[in-house]
Amino acid sequence: MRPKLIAIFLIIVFVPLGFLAWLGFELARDEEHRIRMKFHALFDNTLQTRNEAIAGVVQDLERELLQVLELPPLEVQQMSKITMSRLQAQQGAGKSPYVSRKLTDPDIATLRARVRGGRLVKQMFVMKSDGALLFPTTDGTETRDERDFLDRTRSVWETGIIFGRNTDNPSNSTQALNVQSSAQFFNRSSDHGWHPWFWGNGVNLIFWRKQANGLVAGVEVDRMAFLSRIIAELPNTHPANMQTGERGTNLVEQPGRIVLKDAQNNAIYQWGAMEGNTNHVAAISVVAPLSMWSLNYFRGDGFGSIRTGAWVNVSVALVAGTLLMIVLALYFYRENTRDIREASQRVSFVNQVSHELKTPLTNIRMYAELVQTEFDGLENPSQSSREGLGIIVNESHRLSRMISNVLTFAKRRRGGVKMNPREQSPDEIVRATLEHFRPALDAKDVEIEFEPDASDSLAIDGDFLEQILGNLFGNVEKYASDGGLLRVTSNHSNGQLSIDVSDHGPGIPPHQQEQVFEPFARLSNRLSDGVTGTGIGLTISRELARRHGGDLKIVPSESGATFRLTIKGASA
Amino acid sequence: MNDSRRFLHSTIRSLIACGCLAWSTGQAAASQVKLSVQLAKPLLVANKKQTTFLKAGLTGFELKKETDRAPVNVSIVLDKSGSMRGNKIRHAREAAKMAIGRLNNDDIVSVVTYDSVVRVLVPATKVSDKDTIFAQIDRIPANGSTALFAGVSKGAKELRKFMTKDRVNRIFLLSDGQANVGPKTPGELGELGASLAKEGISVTTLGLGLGYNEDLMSQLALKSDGRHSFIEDATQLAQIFNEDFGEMLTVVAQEVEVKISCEPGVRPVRLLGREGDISGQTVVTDLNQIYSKQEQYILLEVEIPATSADQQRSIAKVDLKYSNLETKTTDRLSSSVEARFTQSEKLVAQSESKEVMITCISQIALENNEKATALRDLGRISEARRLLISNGAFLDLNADKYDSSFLRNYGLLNSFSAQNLDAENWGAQRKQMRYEQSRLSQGAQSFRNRAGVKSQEQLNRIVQKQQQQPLLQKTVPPKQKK
Repeated sequence: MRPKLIAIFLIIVFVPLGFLAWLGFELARDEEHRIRMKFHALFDNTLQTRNEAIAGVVQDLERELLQVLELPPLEVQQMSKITMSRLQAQQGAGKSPYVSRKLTDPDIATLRARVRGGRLVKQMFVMKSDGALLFPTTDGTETRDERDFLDRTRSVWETGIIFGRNTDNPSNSTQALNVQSSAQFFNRSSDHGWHPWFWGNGVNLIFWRKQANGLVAGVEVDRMAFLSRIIAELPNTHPANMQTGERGTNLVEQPGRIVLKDAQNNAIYQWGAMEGNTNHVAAISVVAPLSMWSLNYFRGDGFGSIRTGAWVNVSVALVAGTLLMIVLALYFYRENTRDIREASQRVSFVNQVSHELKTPLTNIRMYAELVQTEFDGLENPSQSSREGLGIIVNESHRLSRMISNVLTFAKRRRGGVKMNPREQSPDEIVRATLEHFRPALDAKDVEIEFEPDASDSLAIDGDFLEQILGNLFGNVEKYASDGGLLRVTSNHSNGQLSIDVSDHGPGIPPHQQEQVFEPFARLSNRLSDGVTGTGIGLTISRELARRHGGDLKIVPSESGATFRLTIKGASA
Repeated sequence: MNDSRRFLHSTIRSLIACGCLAWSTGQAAASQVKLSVQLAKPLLVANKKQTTFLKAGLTGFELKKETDRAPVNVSIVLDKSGSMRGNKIRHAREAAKMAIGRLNNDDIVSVVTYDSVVRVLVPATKVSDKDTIFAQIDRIPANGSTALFAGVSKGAKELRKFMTKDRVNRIFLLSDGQANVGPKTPGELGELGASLAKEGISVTTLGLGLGYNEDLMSQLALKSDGRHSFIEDATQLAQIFNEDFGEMLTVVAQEVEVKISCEPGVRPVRLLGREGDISGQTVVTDLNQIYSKQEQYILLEVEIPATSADQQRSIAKVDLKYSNLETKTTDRLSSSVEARFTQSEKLVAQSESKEVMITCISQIALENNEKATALRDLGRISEARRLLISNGAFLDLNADKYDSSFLRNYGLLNSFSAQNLDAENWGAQRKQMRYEQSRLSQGAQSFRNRAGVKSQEQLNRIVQKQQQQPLLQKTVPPKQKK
């Protein structure tokens, strides 16, 4: 009973729990994945927002540069003969063809003023429609900065590039460096555009704009000014986290770090208090014309905290589930055992009471029998007194049987039933017991038949046999008196005593034939209506029979019920 | 004799012309920048193609009251990288607070800190609630690396919020380390400085300790026409920071454009100590500001064609345009200079302008000093030493000739530098030299001494003592003892 219960208990608790745990972990993993995806989307989104901010700055700068290139109509004039001959002499025959035309001095002054004043402008140039440079020129009037510019940009001019004109051969220009999304910036039909080229340690930008007369004016963008302006518009790190590397409390407040990197993957600018750059979670390339730059998102162990969060939830759910399951199991267990507990409580109570009742009852019985004997000696006894006396004796017998049943049951539970065998004739015991029941059975018109065939004495415990028979006869009296017959046959062979007790009562349905031996079992409410009893008589009786090396069971009969008691004598 | 009289006449004439020009601006004469254009030798040797120096000096007018000063828009950009830990950050905080303490309600201040990232601690704001600003500054810890470029960019952004022509727009950058996030070369930071100068922003750079890149810091300052200082010891920080801060409060003119137009035949050769565009006969250069009672000058070497004796020749016309912070007007001044020619070498020598010559000599000495720095950078220690010693001697000689204590002191500094080229002292000495060079190129007439050198006399004693020791003792590398 116990181990089975524990097993059921464990199954009830742990099977659903295991299922719950598996479900929880699956759920947590799913959730984690989902959150991860969400965060990745968020990271990408954040970078995209920054990228748009950069695009905004680039547009502002472009507007500023367009203004710088908003020039009065430039006039082209022939160079003086003297200058030309000097240039020819300087450059020699094999050199690239010199430009024989130049801008007028006021125009040049305008351009120089713009170079000096334009905060994004490092140098300016003006190109003729055939790609020849009109400004700056090397005719001796150029400034040192202008000469440096021509040296710097030699690689650009050597490609023969003509801004604003289709140069179909892409190898002609460095624009191939850019991804296709930047096509809008290099749109040939546009009247302005960007042109990146590499010089020094990084990418440089030229911004050009078409002018009247088929001229193109351009600006060499001051790389540092450009960069500085972009950095100025990117977010600062919040001063609340003064300690770089300080961690925010949650994922949203802890923005990690975003790093703007150049083509060589060097950090140009970064923001966000997180130090260490451990977890590179997202990267996108910057808008044209800076598409060789990238924006990178770095996070700390933010994902770890997602995991622990989910796992903690699952664990809490599991603990709660376990508790719930244990409570449930306990509840069912208690429900299941309540009847038994209640019955044993009743038994233990009755047991105590029975002990108290036993002594007075013995006295009552003894004196009642004494009085009965005296009554028999009287010549003219009163019939009603005699019957009353008989009832007293019978009822006190029944009471003492009940008490001995209860006491035996209690002893049995404590494991303390002791056998006390003695040589005696079973038939005598059966007869004596029947005699005790006769007045009660007579009163219910139950006929008694006894076929004794076990007169040889046998070593048995007479008290126990009497108790068993008492219970069986009592049951007939209680439940089968309608049948009007109590038939007892005894048989003794090979030291085995067999006693059948039959009645013509309602009988016991086959599926309940074992159940009646369970303690406190009654066949039905209908049967027990108006019938009293402790519900342990048959249990005790079978127990006692088995202790005698025999058994008590129900055997098939034509009508009513037949109980067969078998007992082995202590000696053959 | 005749020549000298003529020269006198011409001088008087030009003086009167100058006076008239000054009068023409009326009663506001005292609030005008003083422009003086001089040749090193107003009297030149006849019939000979020669070069001489033209000096255009700009002197800021005196403020009538100190409260008349132009309001400033200043961004204090503080390096809070790990290397600033301890004393340095503490002194930096004190210096910043002390400087802000001198500002008043009309001024605008912002405080930016940078390590590997940039934080705008105090966004550009009127200086009305100093306590709040101070409380913010007191919170600055020191850690991380050095995003110097971004720090300056963010400082500039704060300045742009209140950028007006009548304010002095200035970034104060304090750093003790190498820039290591973002652009990090002196060239790149110089470029940034130049572009900021175009917006009217100057950057004053304060190099603290021996760990910073003096080339980068001095380039950033020079190209933006700001000041550069070397602060060897953190305890000097507050004092030097405040000197530079105080100087900013005396700016009287901004957006200064000087155009020198040489007369036909006269060829501009080069500018000394300063950058500018030379194109044909025209030289244009910009200054971000002129300080009260301080002279800044443009020194131009000109080539003058052979001219016969007793001739007078116009050399150049100088046009000055600037924004006057007191009258809030854009003022223009012009002046011209002419030369006369004579056969007498003696008269030529007599005519020499002491003032122009001192500036010329200091600028030539500056070029030598820079050359010596470059030599030392290449590891050519003894060459560098020899150059510095001869530079010192050259300055000393001319100090006697022109009776200039400034030249004498600079001579001493060169000699002192010559004694500190060994590996142990070079780090600090190079920083001091870069500081001196940056100041001299901006026309300074005095320098701060290195920490531990209290006075010019002490410096003199140190140099004399060192010069008594045989030079070889220092030149022999200790390796040869093996």
